Amino acid sequence: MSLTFSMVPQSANASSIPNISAGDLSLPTVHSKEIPTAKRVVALGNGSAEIVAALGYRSILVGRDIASTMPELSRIPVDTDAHQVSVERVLSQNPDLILIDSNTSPASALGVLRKAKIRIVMLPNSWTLGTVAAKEIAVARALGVPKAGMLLAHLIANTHFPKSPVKIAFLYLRGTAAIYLIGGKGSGADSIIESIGFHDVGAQTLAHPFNALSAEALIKMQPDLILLMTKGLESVGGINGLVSLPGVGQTPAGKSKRVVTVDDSLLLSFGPRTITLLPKLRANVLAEMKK
Amino acid sequence: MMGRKFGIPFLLLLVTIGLFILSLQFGIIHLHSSVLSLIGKGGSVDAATVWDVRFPRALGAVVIGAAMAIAGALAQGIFRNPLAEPTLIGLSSGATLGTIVGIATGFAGYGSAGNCITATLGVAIAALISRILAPNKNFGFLLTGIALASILTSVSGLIISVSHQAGIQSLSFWNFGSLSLINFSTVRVITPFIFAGVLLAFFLSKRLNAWSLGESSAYFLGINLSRFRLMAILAIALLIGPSVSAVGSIAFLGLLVPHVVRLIIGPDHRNLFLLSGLLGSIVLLVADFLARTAFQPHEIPLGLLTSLIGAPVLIILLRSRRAQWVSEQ
Repeated sequence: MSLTFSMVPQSANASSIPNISAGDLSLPTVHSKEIPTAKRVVALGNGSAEIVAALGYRSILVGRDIASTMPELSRIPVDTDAHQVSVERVLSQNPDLILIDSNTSPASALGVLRKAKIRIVMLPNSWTLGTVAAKEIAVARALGVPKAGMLLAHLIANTHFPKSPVKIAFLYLRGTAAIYLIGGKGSGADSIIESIGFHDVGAQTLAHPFNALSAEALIKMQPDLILLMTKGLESVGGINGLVSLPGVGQTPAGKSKRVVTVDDSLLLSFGPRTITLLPKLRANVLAEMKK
Repeated sequence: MMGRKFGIPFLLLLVTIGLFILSLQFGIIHLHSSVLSLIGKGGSVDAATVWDVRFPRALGAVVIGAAMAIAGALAQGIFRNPLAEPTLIGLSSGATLGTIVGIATGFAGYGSAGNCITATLGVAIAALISRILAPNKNFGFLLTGIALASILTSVSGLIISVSHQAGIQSLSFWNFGSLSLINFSTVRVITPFIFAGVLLAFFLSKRLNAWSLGESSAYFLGINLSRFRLMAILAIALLIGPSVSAVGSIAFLGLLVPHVVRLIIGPDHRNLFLLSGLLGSIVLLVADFLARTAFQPHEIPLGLLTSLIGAPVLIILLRSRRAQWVSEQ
């Protein structure tokens, strides 16, 4: 009996996998001479702090949500604990405008803030590329800077990429590896993959955003390349851990180790940084396809 | 008598082989030809599916099904309690905790031999703790085991929720079990441990027969009781630990299978181990086949299925007088 004490693979080959991290992308920023009606803004809606900064008004931000992770915002305090709004922290910042969306919770916290007579604006959710512009315009209106909103929304409307016949599967992995969560229609990743000219094999066959699939279902899709979040790849022990999972190694993507990763907070953020993400992601996919 | 002695194992062996081939043939991907025509071939999607995904998984089902069923028979014998099923009395939870501690500390990754060892230690320690806490073999032993299982599972959950180590999996993976992570390397790693456990179980079978007649008769037959108990616990640990470290806890297999076998052939431990091993393989092959095909393309946790079948059996056993066949001694 041979006893080999293998240590946990520490994503040894991660360097060979092209990754896009939050620091790799600059925040596109617009400038308008409008004077905002709000002076102290707490942005709790998913990614809304980033939009305020991209509109050119970072100086009026006094609090932010946990998902706005870009380095430029790191000095602004986070007003949520594990996605729950902390009333005391928000009130201590004395805001005159709070931006929320339908996922901002708990309801009791929002009730208290409303009673405090602070203006609260509900933003539309943005889980696809097509709704980014509407969200940016909504934030701009709430701040009282509609022109800046139009300028920012214009950036994303003007992105087009040629079609390429690459089949991509988006896997959501969290170490719970064996039963894969595969992105289907509405995962968010589908709109990214399609917009940069590739095919999302999950979205073509699966009606739900995230689907627990077995190894064979993944083999059946035969993806050329796998798109993952950075920490997702780490959670299965890097590229070697990934291809040793039943099902992955039997796809063209697994056989050639064609994988691209994007920072967890960035891939599905659907905000101003998405526009700088798209060309980088497309370039990484095309480079991997040469493997 | 001869026909019964050899006929039943032979029949079960045939069923195992038949189910094994069916497991290779059927799944989400419909093969273009019979699995037999793919023997020795590689390259195609069909061949990769059969040899790289289904084959190691079916092999894992055979090995782990046998291990869990034999461990159940052994636990019921050594603890002289018909309900001493490794998952019920906290032994599987010990294996889970051992596995998770191995992964979380970075000592041994998922699917490694080191992880089999930490899981085996986890079972042995859990068994010793429950023996110290509840040395008499009656109902208190079972309740102690249930409490122990609950404590060990909570500690596992606690470690999982704070660990960021790769491969630590979710608590639901460990609690409900799944063969979906099994590949050739996992089967290669766990099989030697399990084989050692099976040999040790058979080695102890005569002494178990004496032991089941009562502590005094075992003593008068010259059995060194403390060594015998330790060896039995080691055998259970070698069977359960590596199995759980690869696929998580699979509830009720160790309860269901030995009881069915006892109904057929009686309590002799050598026959009990042989038939339990075969029937355990069969049950796990069937359960895994259902887990991966019943709700396709989705896969359901295997332990849910074995619990759905096993838990009603437990209720029947609790209500029947048969449940007292050893605990009254």
